Amino acid sequence: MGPLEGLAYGFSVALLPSNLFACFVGVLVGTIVGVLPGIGPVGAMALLLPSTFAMHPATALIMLAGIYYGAMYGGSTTSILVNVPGEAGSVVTLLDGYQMTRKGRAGAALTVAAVGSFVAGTVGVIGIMLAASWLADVAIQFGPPEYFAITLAGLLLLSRLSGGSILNAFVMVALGLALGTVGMDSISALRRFTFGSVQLAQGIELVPVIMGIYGVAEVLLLAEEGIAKTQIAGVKLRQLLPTREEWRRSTMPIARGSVVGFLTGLVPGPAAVLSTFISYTLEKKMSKTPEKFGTGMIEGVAGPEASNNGATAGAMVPLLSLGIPFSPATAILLGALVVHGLQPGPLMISQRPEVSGASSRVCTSAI
Amino acid sequence: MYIGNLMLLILNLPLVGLFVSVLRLPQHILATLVLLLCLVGAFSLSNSFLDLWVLVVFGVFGYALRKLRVDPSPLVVALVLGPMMEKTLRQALFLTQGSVVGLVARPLAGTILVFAAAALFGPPLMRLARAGRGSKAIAQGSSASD
Amino acid sequence: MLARAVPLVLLVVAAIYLTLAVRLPFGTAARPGAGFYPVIVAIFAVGVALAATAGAFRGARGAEAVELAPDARRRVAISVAALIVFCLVLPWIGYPAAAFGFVAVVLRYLGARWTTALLAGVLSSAGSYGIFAVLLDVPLPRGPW
Repeated sequence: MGPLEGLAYGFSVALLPSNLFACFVGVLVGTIVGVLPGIGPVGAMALLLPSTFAMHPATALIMLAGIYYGAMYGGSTTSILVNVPGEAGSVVTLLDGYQMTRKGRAGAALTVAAVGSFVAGTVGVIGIMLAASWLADVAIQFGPPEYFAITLAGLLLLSRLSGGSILNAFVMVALGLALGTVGMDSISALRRFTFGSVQLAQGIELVPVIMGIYGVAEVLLLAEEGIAKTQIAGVKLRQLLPTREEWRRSTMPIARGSVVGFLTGLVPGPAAVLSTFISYTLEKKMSKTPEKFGTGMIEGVAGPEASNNGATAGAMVPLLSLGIPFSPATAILLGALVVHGLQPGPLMISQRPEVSGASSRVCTSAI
Repeated sequence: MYIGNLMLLILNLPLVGLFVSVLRLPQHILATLVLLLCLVGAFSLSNSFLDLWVLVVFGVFGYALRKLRVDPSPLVVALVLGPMMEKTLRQALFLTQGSVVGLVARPLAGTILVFAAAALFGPPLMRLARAGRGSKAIAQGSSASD
Repeated sequence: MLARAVPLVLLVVAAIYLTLAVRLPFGTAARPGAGFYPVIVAIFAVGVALAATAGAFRGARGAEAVELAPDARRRVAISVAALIVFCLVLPWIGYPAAAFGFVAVVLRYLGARWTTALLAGVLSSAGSYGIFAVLLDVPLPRGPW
């Protein structure tokens, strides 16, 4: 079955009322859970995984992916509204998103985030169809030295994310690197810097760190003011939607973000988080007013939000074509598939086209 | 599935309104609630008290950074990329039997690194060069106009 | 003052990290051990922390934090203290009590009236417990009751 027939078949499966409903439920639940700080897409998916065992595999996949997308959107909602990143992929969104809220443009930010994610998901689906077989060829060329080069390069470049002095950035980088070494060494299984604590042996989790550094810090800043005379600006209904100007400014960032996100998703590693950093840096470089980033530039919301959805789609490619999950979320999807007796990989595309076709449809079914 | 997608886009518009109306809560109440949610959220991740302490410690640290106007983002990037960097470095060294030159000499890896170094150190170096040229030009200009 | 304290603390932390890192098995370049990468990171960390501290003590421009009014400082201090106390007592008195206490105390010190603070405390404690422990089935410490 060629890609086009698979696509058509996938559509016919995905449009079944039961699957549509599953998708709807998934996205709704995912969004609500995602709004709660800390519980991100992976948490939401893990919590609801057992309830999908009784479903048809395509339905289960659709609902899980719906939860994932809903949770990512919920995470960006809290980033924009209260400067608390719901999960790692929404960290960058708060840089400008929260500033937009303070200016009264929260609705615009949220809408642009939703639309950008939708567009990226669509682009991602096309990408999945095209990239699946091509990926295997390229993957062979990349060995450890290449991956090391990429991560080092990424670290150096992304540390210049928000400007400021190089020395300060390096201090932050050093601290982050050191924190990353706490816990059990992955290669030699030796415990490092754990001071005998069992909990430290598991390492320092990323999510509490970012919730603290961005979210709690922001709240402490608010605490300085006590009962504030001024509230965060009230919103009228008309102000909820982005203006034409804002739409215009968001178009290219969304397009770029989708592509950047998808490409980042193809590479193993924390794709969603990285893609947001890359997209933000890219938008800053391409902007005529880079110094305004961090004060509420809508490009800083549109690009990263699109890219983290693109990364999700991109991450599906290695999952479906090679059977290799590159992130915890895709690992859960893999688990769900295995429970249903499916082994993702090159064989699945030919033997069970309705599942792989439908699941790529999922990327557009959820925002 | 575009139907489903559209359905959700439509669903989100009233949701946006709902979310934004939450902002109408008085600031201090909102702030306290957010703190509480952060505490619960952090704890419920892996049912770990460590995560709670991490949240608080980094909250205070993040606050200090904000007062100093230092951006914490590189820390986050390093925390995310660090483990992967270490793993690939050790695997790579194992591969090249300890030769660092062997690491960089590979075409793909070497290109990436050169590009990154250029992107990182290029702009400051260029600025220095321009400043040097500028002061030279001023010196020449002032001597020429004498 | 903050601008000098922070780099100094980081320098101390980096130094401690270095001493711990060199105790780990280093391995050889061909077979890097568990200590290989941490030592590299530690040297880098000490280096930049040193540079930052030196810069701060020489009075680098733009590094001074804005001074706070005393009651603003008090509010922040209370909030931080409340956070710490919450983490300490949570295993002992359980989540619902800790959450109630936290919200009530913080709100009161941020300036709300006692009635508002207590009411918000009850609502938020019950509400969050309902969402997390009941709906989402997350095990929260229940305390002695």
